[in-house]
Amino acid sequence: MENIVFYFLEALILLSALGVVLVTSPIYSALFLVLTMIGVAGIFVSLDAFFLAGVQLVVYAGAVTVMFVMVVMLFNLDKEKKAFSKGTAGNFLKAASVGLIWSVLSTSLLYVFSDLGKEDLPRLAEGSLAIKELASHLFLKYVFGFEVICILLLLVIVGAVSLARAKGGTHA
Amino acid sequence: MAESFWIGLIFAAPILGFLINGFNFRSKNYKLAGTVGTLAVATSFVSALALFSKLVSLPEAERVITHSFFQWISVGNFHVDASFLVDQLSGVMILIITGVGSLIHLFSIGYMSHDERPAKYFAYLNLFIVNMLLLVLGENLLILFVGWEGVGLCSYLLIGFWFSDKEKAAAGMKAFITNRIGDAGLLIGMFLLFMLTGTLSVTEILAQGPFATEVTFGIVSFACLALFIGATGKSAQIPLYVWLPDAMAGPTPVSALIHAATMVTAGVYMITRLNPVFMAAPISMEIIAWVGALTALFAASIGITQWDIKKILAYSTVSQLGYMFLALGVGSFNGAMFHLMTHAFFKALMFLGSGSVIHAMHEEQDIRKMGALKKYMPITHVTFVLGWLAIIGMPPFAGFFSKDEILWMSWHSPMGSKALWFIGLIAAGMTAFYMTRLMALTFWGKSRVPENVHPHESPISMTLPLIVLGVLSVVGGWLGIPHVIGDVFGHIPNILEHWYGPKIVPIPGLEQAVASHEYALMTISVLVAGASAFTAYFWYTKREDIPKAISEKAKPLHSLVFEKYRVDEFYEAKIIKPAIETGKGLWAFVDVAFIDKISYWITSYIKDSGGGLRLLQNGNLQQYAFYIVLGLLGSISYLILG
Amino acid sequence: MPDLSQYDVGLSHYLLLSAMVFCIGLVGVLVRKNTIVILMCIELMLNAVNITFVAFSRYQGNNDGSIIVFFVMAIAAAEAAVGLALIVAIFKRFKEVNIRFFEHLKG
Repeated sequence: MENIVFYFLEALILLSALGVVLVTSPIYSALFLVLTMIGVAGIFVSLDAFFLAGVQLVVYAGAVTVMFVMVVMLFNLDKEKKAFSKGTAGNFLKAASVGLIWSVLSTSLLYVFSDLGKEDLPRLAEGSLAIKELASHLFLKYVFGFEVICILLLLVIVGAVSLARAKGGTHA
Repeated sequence: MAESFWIGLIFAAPILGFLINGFNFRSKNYKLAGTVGTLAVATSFVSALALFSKLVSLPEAERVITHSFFQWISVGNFHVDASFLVDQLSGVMILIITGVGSLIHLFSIGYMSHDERPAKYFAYLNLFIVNMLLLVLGENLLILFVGWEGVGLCSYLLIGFWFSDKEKAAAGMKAFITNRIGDAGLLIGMFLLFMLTGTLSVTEILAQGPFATEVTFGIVSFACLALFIGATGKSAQIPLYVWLPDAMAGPTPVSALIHAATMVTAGVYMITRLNPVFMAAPISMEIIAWVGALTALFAASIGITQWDIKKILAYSTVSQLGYMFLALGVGSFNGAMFHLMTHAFFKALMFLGSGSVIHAMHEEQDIRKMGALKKYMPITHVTFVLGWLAIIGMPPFAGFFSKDEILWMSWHSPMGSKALWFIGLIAAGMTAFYMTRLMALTFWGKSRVPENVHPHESPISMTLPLIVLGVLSVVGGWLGIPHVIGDVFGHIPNILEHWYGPKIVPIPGLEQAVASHEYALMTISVLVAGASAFTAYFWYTKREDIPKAISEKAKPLHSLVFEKYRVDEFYEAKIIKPAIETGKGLWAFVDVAFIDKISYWITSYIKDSGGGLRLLQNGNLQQYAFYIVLGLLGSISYLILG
Repeated sequence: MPDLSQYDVGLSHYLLLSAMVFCIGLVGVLVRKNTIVILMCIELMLNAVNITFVAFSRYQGNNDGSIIVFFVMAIAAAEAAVGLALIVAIFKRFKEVNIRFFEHLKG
């Protein structure tokens, strides 16, 4: 059962990720992105990271993609004629290089991690205990990073607002 | 006061004058500029007098004042101090330079009264004095060289002072470039001396003596010859004399100061300064003597045919410098220094006199347009006559004693010969001829002055230097009365010979002078000079048709001499043209075809590769990202495969 | 029934999935024309990394990886916000979202 769920999610993620990259219209890309996020949330669930899955849904599938959709809507672009940048040969070369990276990565992964199965997983705290553990990690061990992230977010709010408020260009 | 004060002052005063006039170079106030310049040199003259009297008060064997201001260069074992040496030789020189210099500065005030840039002129003149003093007082050959180059620079600036006239600017450049050729010789000579002795300090070089006489042509002879080449450049000897006649393009007081009295004698002074070294190189000395004698003859013969008053005096200067080198070559350094001094007096006098004449004639220099100026310019005439008598060697004027000493030594010295004496005698006769011709055509005979020119006597600031120099031209020679004459009048000592004695190596194998021989030679030279002077007087005042007829008859010879033996043309054709052609060839085949090609190739290669690399930096963000991907690919491959 | 145990899901599966998603996102960044889509592709890449963190965290029994995922999410959201704000600013002035147009920003 777990296997079937995984392969289903994998197929969902890969297809929708390809959709993000391949479809011409940005709004469809955004929708495919939502699908991908949901798939990733499913993967998190399969890895027993329930809280993260929830956050993934709320933050990514909810907030971030909504932001994308709104920007696309705001622009009210004409119909895109081409999805990709100019230079077909260059694009193929880029894709080929990335393919090469992928093959090198996968080959080495298969060599290194092929022997780890689900049976020898360490036991983890269940349910709310897991979330508690996470919280103690976040607010005790990594509290400094947490604070930094908070400040960063604050800055980003101010920066994004002021950037978007500007009339654009140098005549702000 | 301390010696260092006077040595400092002798330099500081003209430097200050140079700075004041130099910073004020736009000023047209010739009186102010002239007063500053003259006062500066006069101050120098006072310090020179103070130093000289210090020198005299010292006991004979210790007549040396040295002062080192600071260490100039110190490299390993090689040290050069900014140190200055006042001894018998330089003591007399500084008196001449600053004394004659002051008079000429004074004269210049009147002469430059109509000029556009008097302040600049006086600034250059003061700078010249500074450099000339550096040359003379420098204890080290390197300092001497600094002065040597400095006077060359000032000479260039002053010859080309009226640079808006293209010909005059070219004359300046000619002087400068010709001097550079000589300077190369001087440098080589200095290098060789350094190689021989390991030092450039004059005192230390001479302290390593006595030098063994070189019978064959060795390194000492080579060094001396190289130094002599330097001297031929600065002192206008064959083959580098060509610049001096052209140098007359400058203002006349400049010709008097730089191109007659002081700078051109630098070569004579330098050789005398190093006389123990030169005495060790008899072959070089013989060459010097012959070059000097031939220059004297050669330049005198050109002087006979010229019409430009300053050109005649210029060739006369070359000829007289030839005499000095003849004296040096036969080992009579004393005679050379003696003639240097008397020549400084009477030639400066004559140049200033000619300046006075030119000034009166409204910048006319052609003696065919003068004549009978005697009645318009009495003071100039009288002083000029004194100079004339001095230069043609009439006793008891200054030139007689110095020239006679040279002629006598070239006969008597074992380093001289009868032939050298004979050439000197002929040149003396020619000198008397052309100087009398100059006098006759300028001051005596019939007036050929154009209607619209009204000659007048010059102002007091111009005549005063003439009078002083006139007196010096008379009495200057009495400092070196030969023993044979001195004995007759009751043991009048030869002051100059005695004075220079400790600094000069005696000529080896010099026999006791035979009084009757010396009298005979004196008589011969006076008679020759007198006869040719009389001939010239007779021809150019009474029978002007005779010289015309002679020059008509010997037309090819006359025109050859009149065109200065076409030496300039010869240099132009055989040296300058080939040099230019070689340069052009090198330019076309080495520079353009080879060096340029290589550099162009390198630059275009770099440009092309830069252009290629520029494509990487095209602003395309996705391409930049692709570079990151490539880097990632590379580092992953390295981690996994490596 | 054939033995399917070799198809049992293990750590390597997650990592392979993550590598593929990452590479798809990377290709998107490299070849897409629309700047907004490029930002989306960057989100894809970040998600791929998140999968890796969570997988390692799970298979090693260590919560630290999960914490990193929090941080990544926060920064990803921030990056998206700033990136979109920039795009909005540029679009307002030039009416252009083509990444090649950004070449004009070079010196």
